[in-house]
Amino acid sequence: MNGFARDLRAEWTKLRSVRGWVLALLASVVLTVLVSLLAATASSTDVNASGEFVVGPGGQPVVDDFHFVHQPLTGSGSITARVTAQRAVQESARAGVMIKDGTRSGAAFAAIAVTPRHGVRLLSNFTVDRTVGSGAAPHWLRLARHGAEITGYESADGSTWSPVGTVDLRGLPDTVEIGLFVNSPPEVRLGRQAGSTSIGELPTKSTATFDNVRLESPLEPGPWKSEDVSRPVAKPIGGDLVQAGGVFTVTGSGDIARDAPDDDPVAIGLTGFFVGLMAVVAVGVLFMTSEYRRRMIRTTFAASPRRGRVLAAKAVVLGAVTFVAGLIASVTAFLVSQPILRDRGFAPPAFPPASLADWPVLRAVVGAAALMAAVALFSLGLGAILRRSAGAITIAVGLMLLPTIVSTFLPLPAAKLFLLVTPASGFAIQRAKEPTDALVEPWAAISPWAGFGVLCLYAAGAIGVAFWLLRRRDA
Amino acid sequence: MEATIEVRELRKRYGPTVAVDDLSFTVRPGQVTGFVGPNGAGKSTTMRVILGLDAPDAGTALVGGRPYASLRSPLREVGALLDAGAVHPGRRARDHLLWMAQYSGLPGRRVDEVLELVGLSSVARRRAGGFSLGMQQRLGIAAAMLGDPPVLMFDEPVNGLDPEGILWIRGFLRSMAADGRAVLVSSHLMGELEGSADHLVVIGRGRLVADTTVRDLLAAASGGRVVVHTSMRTEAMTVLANAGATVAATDRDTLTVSGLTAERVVTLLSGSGLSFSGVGEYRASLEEAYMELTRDSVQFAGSR
Repeated sequence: MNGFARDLRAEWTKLRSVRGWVLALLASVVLTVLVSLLAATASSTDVNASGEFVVGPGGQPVVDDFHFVHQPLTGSGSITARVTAQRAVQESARAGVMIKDGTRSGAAFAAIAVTPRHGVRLLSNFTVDRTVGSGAAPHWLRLARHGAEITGYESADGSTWSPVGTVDLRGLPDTVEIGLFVNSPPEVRLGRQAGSTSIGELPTKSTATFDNVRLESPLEPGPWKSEDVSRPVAKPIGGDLVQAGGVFTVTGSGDIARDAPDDDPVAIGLTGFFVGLMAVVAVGVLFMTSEYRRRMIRTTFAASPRRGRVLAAKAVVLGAVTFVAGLIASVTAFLVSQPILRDRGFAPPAFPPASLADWPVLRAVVGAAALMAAVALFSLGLGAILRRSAGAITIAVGLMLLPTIVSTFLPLPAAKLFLLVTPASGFAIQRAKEPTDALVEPWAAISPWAGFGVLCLYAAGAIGVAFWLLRRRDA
Repeated sequence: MEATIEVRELRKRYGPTVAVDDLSFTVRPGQVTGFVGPNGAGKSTTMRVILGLDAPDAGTALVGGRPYASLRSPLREVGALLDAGAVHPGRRARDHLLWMAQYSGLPGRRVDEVLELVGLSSVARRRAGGFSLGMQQRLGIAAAMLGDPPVLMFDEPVNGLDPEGILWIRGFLRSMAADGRAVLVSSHLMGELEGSADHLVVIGRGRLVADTTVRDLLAAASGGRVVVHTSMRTEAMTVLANAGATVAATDRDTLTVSGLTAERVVTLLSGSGLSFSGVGEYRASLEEAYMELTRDSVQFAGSR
């Protein structure tokens, strides 16, 4: 057996043979699960009942508000138009051509549009929204249907066309609505008070002019109908159409996008880690400082004079054990909290069932275990640097907890920044949804990997300094 | 590996305090070397440097000709007991030895053997926090014996032991040396080493005071003096002094004579018709010899 494997076995024996540490690790698992359960039981939402969203073709919650100038198209065909001008306050306001399964908000669709600042965009079914060109008005757009396939084209001059993308809308009926559309996302106002946030949406509108509108249809084109497509509870500014000769001036308001609520049942179901981590901090610190307190470190270094390797063995053993403990805690907490949360309103369609087979969910659940391991290693490093239990535990707990409390009282940019310079940013890994500014927890506003990366830097830094000091100091 | 400890021109300071100053000595196999000096003389520091725990400011300490840190499997080469209290109180005695054994790749069976050796088998599964000082010392000795090493080092091993334990340790140290091991035992009380040490390294204030065999030291301290018991003290003193000896009355009927052999004393006293009994060579105790040596180097002697 080589040297490092021996060291690992020896450190494993040390860890498992102190009853207090084993109990503390068990306690961390139990506390994590219990507090997560408590958090799940204390949470509820009525998002599904409030009807602020409609359900998209995939069953997901979406917003779907815009002004549509349309007529039916049966079978294959296409629409071509030139957007000559776009007047909008929102950089992502769209003006373009669309094929939609009727005029019901939330119905399947495909569209190509220009925006003031975000280029030419191809959209489909609230799942596709990608930049396909860098143009802005004036610009030519075309959308052609051939069976289930809908292809977008763009052109700067109306004579040289390039296809920029095809989407497959299987299940689209033979007769669809085809035409021009304009939308303008609302302005989001985030209010942030000590310990809470409020979110307000201010509707905006934009106006675009189209000419050279040409519909190719197997049937004789009919008259254009102008109407607002909107959710039942939406209160957008009404759009309209002014048609003069071949020039269409369309005004519209609202957004076409996914509208998943910011609350993340996966993260709520992992709330207990805030508490469970404290026990892990204690074990991580004591695994090192107990050796100093009893001067046992001399026995250790006499048995294995390669101090760096001893520290590495300690780190690997502690990291592996706390990761496994964390994984047991996070999987259990996830499995017990999700059904409770589902009963308390976190249910489809606003909250699709979270499955461990989904990468973001898996990332959050496994990430929570990694969070526990990283915090344990950070604590171990602090213990080796300070050689005092009380000081190291206070600092580790303080650095994990204080920022999470203090940052909820700070303005968001300051809160984000503050969090990103402390290891508490690691809590970001527990979110299975996109970062959002709308929640009071600032760790919801930073990317999971950035947050976790900061924590890992702290852990690596502490272990690194400990490594250097151990070799330099007398034992 | 040759079973030796070689300390060469060792110097170690902690801040302004010089703990060890230009110390050199060698511990040889087959004998017990006593490492003696008052508290704070630098004994523990020297041992820590030998074990590679503290880095010396100058000089070297080699075990079997090599620095400790370069030993592949140190517990198989050097067994050390520095501090019997260096045990996690929540850990069972057996587990405490097990992790040490694992660091050296020794089998768990060896743990049971050393527990048997020091007589702790029956408490192997008890937590070390509940051990008496004597049991802790035995546990520490068991730890030192794990790798069956040719070099042993014990820092104040009889501290806190009951008379039975002290006797046991002495026998243990003797048998270890008889096996051909090099044994270094520190103590601040020379008397503790009486009957176990063959060789002595005496230090004071971090400096070497004496590096000698116990026999030579005692002979030097005895100084070839002769003790004679007589009831005719005054007369005897006159006779002996006239013969050129220095005579001291050490008791009501005891004289200590230097400058004359025992044989000569017998002849002189018999010739003068003085009755006497028990003529013998004066034997200084180790403690006495030690006091003489360290009189000048006792660091914390009361000055008031």
